[in-house]
Amino acid sequence: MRRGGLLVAAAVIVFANGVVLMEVARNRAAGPVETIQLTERELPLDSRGKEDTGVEVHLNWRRFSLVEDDLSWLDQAKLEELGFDYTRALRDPRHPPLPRPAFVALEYDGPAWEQWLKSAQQDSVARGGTLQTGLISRLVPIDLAKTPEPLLQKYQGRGKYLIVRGVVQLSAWTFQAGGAPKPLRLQPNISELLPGSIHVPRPLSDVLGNLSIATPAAGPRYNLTLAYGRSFEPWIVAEPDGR
Amino acid sequence: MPEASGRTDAQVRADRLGIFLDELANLERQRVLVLTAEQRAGVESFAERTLQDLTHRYDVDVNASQRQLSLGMRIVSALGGLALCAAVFLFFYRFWGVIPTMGQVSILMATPLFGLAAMHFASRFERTLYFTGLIGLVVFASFVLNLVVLGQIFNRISSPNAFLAWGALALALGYTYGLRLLLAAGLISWLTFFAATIVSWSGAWWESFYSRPECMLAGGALIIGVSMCLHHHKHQNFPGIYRLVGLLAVFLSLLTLWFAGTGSFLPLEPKSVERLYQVVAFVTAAFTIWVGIRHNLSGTVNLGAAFFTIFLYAKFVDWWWDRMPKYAFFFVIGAIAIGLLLAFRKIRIALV
Repeated sequence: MRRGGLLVAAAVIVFANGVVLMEVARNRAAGPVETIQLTERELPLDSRGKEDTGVEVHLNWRRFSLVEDDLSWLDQAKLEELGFDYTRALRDPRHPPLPRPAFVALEYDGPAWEQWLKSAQQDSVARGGTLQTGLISRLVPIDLAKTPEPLLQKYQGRGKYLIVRGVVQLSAWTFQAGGAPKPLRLQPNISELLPGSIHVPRPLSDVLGNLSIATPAAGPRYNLTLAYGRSFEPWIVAEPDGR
Repeated sequence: MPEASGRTDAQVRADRLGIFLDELANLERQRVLVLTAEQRAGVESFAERTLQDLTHRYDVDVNASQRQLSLGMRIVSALGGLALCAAVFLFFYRFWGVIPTMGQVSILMATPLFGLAAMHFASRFERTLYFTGLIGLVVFASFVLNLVVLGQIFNRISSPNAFLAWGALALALGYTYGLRLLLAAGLISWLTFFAATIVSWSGAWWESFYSRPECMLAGGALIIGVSMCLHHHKHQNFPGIYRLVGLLAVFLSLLTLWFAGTGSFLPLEPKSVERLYQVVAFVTAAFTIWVGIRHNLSGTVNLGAAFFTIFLYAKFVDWWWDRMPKYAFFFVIGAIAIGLLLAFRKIRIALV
């Protein structure tokens, strides 16, 4: 009786590991769907505990914007395509919809970044300060969809675009920064890109593990090439290239 | 090898025998019943033989000191298991950076499998299963670590399916060895899987399942329902764990909806949702107490009474906290507690 129970437990362990490894193989089987070379600005090191010897980086994107209506392209039609009930969310703002998964198109060092940079510099000058652009990520979200196919078809520039999984939130606002109260409006937001962290395997981790977490003002210290498979799960493929 | 139900039955028999001997001595002292020397010797010899046999076969507790020590050992086993779980996690994270990917994967997979072998080995040499239970917790933690880190190494997008696997392992081990802590871990894992899957079916991101307490509420009710349908002949103390996990899920969900009607699926104004669930909370707590009394389930009665009191106090805070001086508020609460005690006392007398 006990032997039977133990065999079931062992089967659960083996089966679960088998499923995970098969899905990993499936993701990488036909080679990468997309690859992109990014710098430390876009892939900074994750902070880790004193006794954690693993090395991870995370995908850093232009999350908080100084530009008003920066996500204006994320309109009602796109949100409804993701499954948000836009009309109900507007009618019943105290009942916020749950976040929904989506595929996000990010543009790397392109017009969206330049536009953001221009606005941010103007804002910085108006405040009497200077903007440290050398540390800021140049990955800017420009589009999203429920499935990856339309985005892959639309954004084909190799090394310029990246399609990743993400989570979109929708919340109701009656005001905006620096302005007077406005009528109720819905503010979409890309709350996270998935996966949250990207593991750096050996021997790359031996090099990156010796670097401090804080990015030096002098600029990025490494480049990494990121590949995404058919399940849009990434892996790091190239040696770090010191700068 | 003693089976779990055999040990429970043996302990019940040893307890009954102990009470019988105490009462017999009491009756003899009061001269209500006087045994001849031969009869007394026969009873004592029978009791001694039986207790020795039960101790030898099932390692039962035959006196109060042993019972207290056993409770202490159970607590130490649970705490030791939890400490070892933390040790397994921290140990792996301390060294995984220096191990190549293949090695990491092999270690992650092999650790819970070795743990299973250790459980089997330990269970063959002990009757009380303290060490087996402790190793069982470590196996569960190793399997959690296994899937979490495997996901980290290969940058997998998280999914609720891991909870299904964790729950299956915990339940398999819980039922194999009669371990209640692993049963609870399995039920909580499956409860999480159930709630997260329902949320993901609605098209939302599964990690936001805690924002819709009704999913947990339904899961808790399902666990209670399952405990009523399943017959645990072998593990007689398992239905209590089912009820505990299920009722806690139900009551905590109701408490959340009591204050946050915005988290409901119902297409109603948040205030209306909150009022609706406040009524449901009181009715559920009162019904739980009634069912517990009717079926002689002390744990269920206690849990129902505890949450009935929490709901009552929450309502008093709603009504009076802003309107009364604080001393008057607490005076009223104290007075109501005394009133409740008197009411429970009357009910208790009526049940005799």
